[in-house]
Amino acid sequence: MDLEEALDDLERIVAELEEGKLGLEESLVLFERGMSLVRLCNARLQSAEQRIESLTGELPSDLC
Amino acid sequence: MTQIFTVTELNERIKDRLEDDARLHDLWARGEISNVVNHRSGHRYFTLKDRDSQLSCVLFRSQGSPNFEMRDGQNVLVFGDVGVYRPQGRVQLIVRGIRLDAGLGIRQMEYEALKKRLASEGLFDLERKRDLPKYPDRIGIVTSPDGAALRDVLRIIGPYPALILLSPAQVQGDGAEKSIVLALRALRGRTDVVIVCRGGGSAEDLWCFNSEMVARAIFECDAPVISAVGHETDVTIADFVADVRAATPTAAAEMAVPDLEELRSEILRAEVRMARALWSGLERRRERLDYLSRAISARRMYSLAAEARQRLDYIAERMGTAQKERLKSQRARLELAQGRLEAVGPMATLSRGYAIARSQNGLILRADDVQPGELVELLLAKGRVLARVLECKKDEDVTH
Repeated sequence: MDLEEALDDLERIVAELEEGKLGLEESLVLFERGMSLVRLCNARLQSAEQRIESLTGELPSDLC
Repeated sequence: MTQIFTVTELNERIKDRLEDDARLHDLWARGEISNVVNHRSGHRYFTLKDRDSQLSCVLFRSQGSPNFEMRDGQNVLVFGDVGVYRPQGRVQLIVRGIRLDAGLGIRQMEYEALKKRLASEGLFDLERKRDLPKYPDRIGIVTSPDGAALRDVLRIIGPYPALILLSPAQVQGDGAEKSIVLALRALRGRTDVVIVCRGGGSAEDLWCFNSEMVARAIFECDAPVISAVGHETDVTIADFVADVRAATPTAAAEMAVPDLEELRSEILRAEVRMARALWSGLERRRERLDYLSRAISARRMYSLAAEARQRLDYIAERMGTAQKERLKSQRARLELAQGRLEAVGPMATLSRGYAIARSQNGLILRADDVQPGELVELLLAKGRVLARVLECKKDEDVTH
């Protein structure tokens, strides 16, 4: 799942929870899913080492 | 068979022949001005000549005035198309641009002419400009691997979790145009957004970004293109074709990726909203706890509440003081709710002096669940009692 999908899903879940029409158990399941999306997004943002590739395969040494 | 033309027919034929010839369109000519006539109509007629030959020229009013006073003897460069003035059978140059020939300016005219042509072809149309993706997964960069521009761009997009594909190009000098075109094409199908950039330089250095070849390659890119060539004041043809023009490579990078701080706090806000929504859901249900305590075991409710509290604790740690205070009061309410939850559990109730009444048919909830004379069992906080029913008052409201 890419970041954009995760954020879209998260936004949907928040909106659905805030709407407050769900049963308690459903909200709990949704809350769980929302939290795992939050963890996923944060992990994606934290693990952003520079991943640079060059189409010619050659990168100046200061960029590797 | 010999064909005999009228003069009109013959001139018509010459006109068609000359004006259909693509080589006689969009051409440049160099020469000296003579016989300038500024006609009342606003059109200018003059002769362009060199040592051996001369040609009639007309500059129609619709083309605007040249940026200098035209006088006999001036050396000029003119741009235009060959045409035929039929009434006089005269071949002439219909001038669309004119500059003093000082060896300068011809490139500027080429630039204007190319810009005009590409604009008329629709390459700069606003309707075809594409939106940039909000969260790109793959970012292509076309620039020199050795330039400062690349480092500027990487400083901004480096911390963002996307694959960065460098497509190296030569961005000045001979062969630069071709190199940029190839670098752009190499990214086809591999990126969500492309940054074409180079740092500041002389007009000469930036000139490759004014080439038709580069303009078309940008136009043909399958991902939206952000261009950033030179400094803020340098605007190239590439900038007109690109989906978005950035003033500098750094600005281009900032457009390509979302602001990370912004994104992090957006995620945090989502967390807070979820925890709040869950909490308020619990609160609303507190009023129906009697019902809920049958449907869901008390233990389940405790763990739900504990979970929401844990989330709030966690978030509180990460948030400012004001927010913390708010969460503290929410936590207090949560604890209160937990207390009340315990209070409605059966043991707590029994210890307050209540009893559970059962007959052989199960719990006695209504007076007509039992008959006078029937044996009933009363469960107390400690022990139980067997009793006999004396009377059943069915219709009275019993208040606690």
